Amino acid sequence: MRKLLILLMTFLVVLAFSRSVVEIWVTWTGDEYRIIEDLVKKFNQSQEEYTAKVISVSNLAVKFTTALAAGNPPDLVHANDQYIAPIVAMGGFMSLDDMNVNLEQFQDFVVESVKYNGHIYAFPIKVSIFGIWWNKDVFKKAGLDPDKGPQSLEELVEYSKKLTKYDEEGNLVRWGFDPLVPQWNWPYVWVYHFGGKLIDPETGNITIDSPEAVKTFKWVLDYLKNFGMEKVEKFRGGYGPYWSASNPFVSGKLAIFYDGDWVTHVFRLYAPDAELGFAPLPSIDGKKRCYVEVDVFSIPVGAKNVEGAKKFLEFLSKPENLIKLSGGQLSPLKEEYTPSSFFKKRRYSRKIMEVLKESEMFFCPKFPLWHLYLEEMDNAVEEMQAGTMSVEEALKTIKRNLERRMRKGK
Amino acid sequence: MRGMRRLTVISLLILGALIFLFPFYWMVMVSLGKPEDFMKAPPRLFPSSLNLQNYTEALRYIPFFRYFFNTLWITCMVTLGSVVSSSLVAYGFSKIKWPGREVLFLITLGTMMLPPAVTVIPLYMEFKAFGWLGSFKPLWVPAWFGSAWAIFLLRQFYRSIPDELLDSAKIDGAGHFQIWKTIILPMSRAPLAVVALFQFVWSWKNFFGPLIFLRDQNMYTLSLGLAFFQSRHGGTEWHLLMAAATLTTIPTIIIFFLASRYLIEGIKITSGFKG
Amino acid sequence: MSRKRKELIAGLIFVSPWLLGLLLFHVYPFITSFYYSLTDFNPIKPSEFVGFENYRWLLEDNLFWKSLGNTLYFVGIGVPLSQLTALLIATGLYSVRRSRVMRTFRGIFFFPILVPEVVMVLVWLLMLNSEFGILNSFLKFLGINPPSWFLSVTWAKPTIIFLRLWFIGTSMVIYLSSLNEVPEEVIEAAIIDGASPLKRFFKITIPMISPVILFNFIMDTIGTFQIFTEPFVMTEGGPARSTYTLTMFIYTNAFQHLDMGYASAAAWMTFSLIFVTTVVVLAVTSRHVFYRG
Repeated sequence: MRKLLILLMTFLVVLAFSRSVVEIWVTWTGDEYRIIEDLVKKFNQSQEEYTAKVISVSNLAVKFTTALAAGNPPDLVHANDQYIAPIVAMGGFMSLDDMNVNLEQFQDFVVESVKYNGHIYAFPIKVSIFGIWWNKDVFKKAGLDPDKGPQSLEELVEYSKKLTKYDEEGNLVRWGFDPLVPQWNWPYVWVYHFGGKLIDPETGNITIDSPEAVKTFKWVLDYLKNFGMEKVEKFRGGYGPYWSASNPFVSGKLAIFYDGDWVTHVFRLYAPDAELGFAPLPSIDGKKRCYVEVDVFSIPVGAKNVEGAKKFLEFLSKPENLIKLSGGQLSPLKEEYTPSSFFKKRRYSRKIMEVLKESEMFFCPKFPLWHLYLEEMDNAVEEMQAGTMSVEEALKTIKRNLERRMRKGK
Repeated sequence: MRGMRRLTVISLLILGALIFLFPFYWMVMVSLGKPEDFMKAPPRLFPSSLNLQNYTEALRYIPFFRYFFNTLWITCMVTLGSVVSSSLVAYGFSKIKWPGREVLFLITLGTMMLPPAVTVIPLYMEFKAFGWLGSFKPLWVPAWFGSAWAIFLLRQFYRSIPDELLDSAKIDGAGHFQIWKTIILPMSRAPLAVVALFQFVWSWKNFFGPLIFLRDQNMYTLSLGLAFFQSRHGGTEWHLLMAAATLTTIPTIIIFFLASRYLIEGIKITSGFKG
Repeated sequence: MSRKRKELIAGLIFVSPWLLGLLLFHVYPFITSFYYSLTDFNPIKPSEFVGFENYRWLLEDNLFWKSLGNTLYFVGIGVPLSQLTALLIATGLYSVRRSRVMRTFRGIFFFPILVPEVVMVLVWLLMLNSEFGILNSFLKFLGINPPSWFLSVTWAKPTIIFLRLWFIGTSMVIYLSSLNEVPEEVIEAAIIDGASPLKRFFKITIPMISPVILFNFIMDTIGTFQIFTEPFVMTEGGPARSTYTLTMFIYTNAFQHLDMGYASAAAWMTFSLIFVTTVVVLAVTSRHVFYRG
């Protein structure tokens, strides 16, 4: 009897001191994953109550919605500001208004991006700025000014033609610029650069069939046709994995690349000696614009360990921890809160901040059916490039399908 | 003339066989080569060097062993469950006379025509209610309740066993379970092997089930893991992927060499041929 | 207890696992899925009954029609092609049935069916790659300018149909068995009558194995209506949704958009289609199918 009691006591004691698990899902792999893994280790060592576990999940968006449906979502999920509205509309994210985190330290636009319908639904992690990048060496060799990017859309086309090389059979060997890199493109961003919008901010109507949008894609298609759709298709088949030395930009297949500033991280890993140039993607009206995305962590509805998740976010919100996740060039925190080591380690951050000062930042619209908008847009882009639908038809189809979904939801 | 025709047929068969085998040849060749050998136009026809390290790298690139054992566990449970339950059920449909037997059997046949797409959503919600989502259970537990085609095949076989064989046991006072265990079961080694083999292959290949019901990446099966191997690293390391694919195919090859005869017999029997 | 009673109980006990399984995993889901199709059902929110609304939306949804069209393409072109290939190979094997190599050949043509579809798809993606795929290099060598197979809206479906030709193993084996069962005497009689091999094939062999042809066609049709793995893994339904199938439509709506009521309605439409097609095929061909005694 005594032995049993001692055993029971031991068990209870162990239980009381045992940690509860906090499950975190992220899309990061490779080097980016290692960074969050290290932070998680640090968190686990810093306290006794929780053991955080970070898992790299491929196809995170799909796996997440499935887990929501199954009622067993993780405790924290890595998302993008674009998905806050749709998932909140689905009933998938918890409100984080009572998070014990100092939001003052974040830049204003960052705080704005995690709000929806007046509540906070996500914790900001990092900021990514988008624009065109080029290898300065490649520019020099082609006789172009390595420090100055194309300033207008016409110049972009000019530069691209100058940088494009062919082999004896007329196939592409290097392409100046691919406006829609397969599986790595943001077609909607182009619409903004042509002065259009995806959603009318006043009426909430879908404006993807506006004249500006039509003009946008006609321009893109004309650009592609200039190089030959068949040749482009073939060339694209040879693009290698993004996070590798055969990344089409790193390997020199593409001379000018539209991407977020994490591309500097890729170069740091696979071509550390290269010097990159950066400029905003030119707009049709000459105004300087940059698309910005914010990576976030959210707590799903139905998470088992909400307390633990919040504790981890508190830990992460300390500037010295948070900035580790910023593999790109920008800090999500205000300059006064960002440790100076941040800027020292990043070659391009000063340059980018200069560019930002002169440019207008824009974000994804907060739209509850954004995931469908993206799907329809991806499909429309494929149809337009394949020639199975004209630009007007394709854009009208997006609008029609979305409006039907909106009506259905009511 | 006869000989000419025969020669033509054999040549065509050889051509067909070569075409059929080519994808597997390619899979193995790329798995043994360096990326430079094959990521160019035109690719080499065989690797410049033997790179067996691709295989060891592939094992670390995706958690191959874990996926392998997951798949093995699920598949063994499915196979065992199907064999045991279908055999019992088939006995009930063939060697015991009871009212409603034929009607129920017809309904059983009907379920073979039921597309999984129709039942998958409610099944999902059922498993959610049972608390099985995120575990392997949805993939193997149903097999323990019997599988329609296996029941059909075994029933065919049992019907061909003469009742007189059972009569003497019945006279001695044996109950049905005794009869099943001591007479029927030992006799059904061949058809049971067929059932086991088919269920094994089907479960090993299964993609849709694991896709829907599995949640954690470390619980994935080989088919699922391979499919997601691509998107995992933002592009594809073909030599490693082909190495992983080859490893996945090896159990299938083993089954083929050991048991293709059984499988072919099984197909014949299920389709109503005398075999 | 009467003998009959005892047998009934024994029968039910033996059949009970299946009985339970039937109810749990077949009958209940079958009926419930129809009920779901009449509701607006999201698994993390309360559901509401909407009657036939979902079906109405389906008919207006051009993505549904596209999935339907693609699936019908796979069925209408893929099934006859696969069956023809299986029959041809079986006939070839039959004509050398007495030779020692028959078993080997049969094994080679049967083997791919044991291989997971995912593996085949991945090898295809490699072989048909537009830049470094072996097929395109081969075609260029022959002087043909090849398309970008699964990246092309026109060629993506044919590429998948071509891939599925590797899975004709089961059908082929069935055809071979049925050919083996055609009585030798009938063939001999035809030879004596002076019928050419082609005539013998079409006038005697085919009619004699017509039940088997029907069986294979129907099984293949039912299977192909549900095609999912190949388009999903190869092209995710693209490019431009040219390989988007009915089952993908159901899967995406149910598990990605969490719109399970809508997906259930689509599932029922699919089922009805399969059912009607099967009935029609059986009815239309009943006159041409020759059932022996």
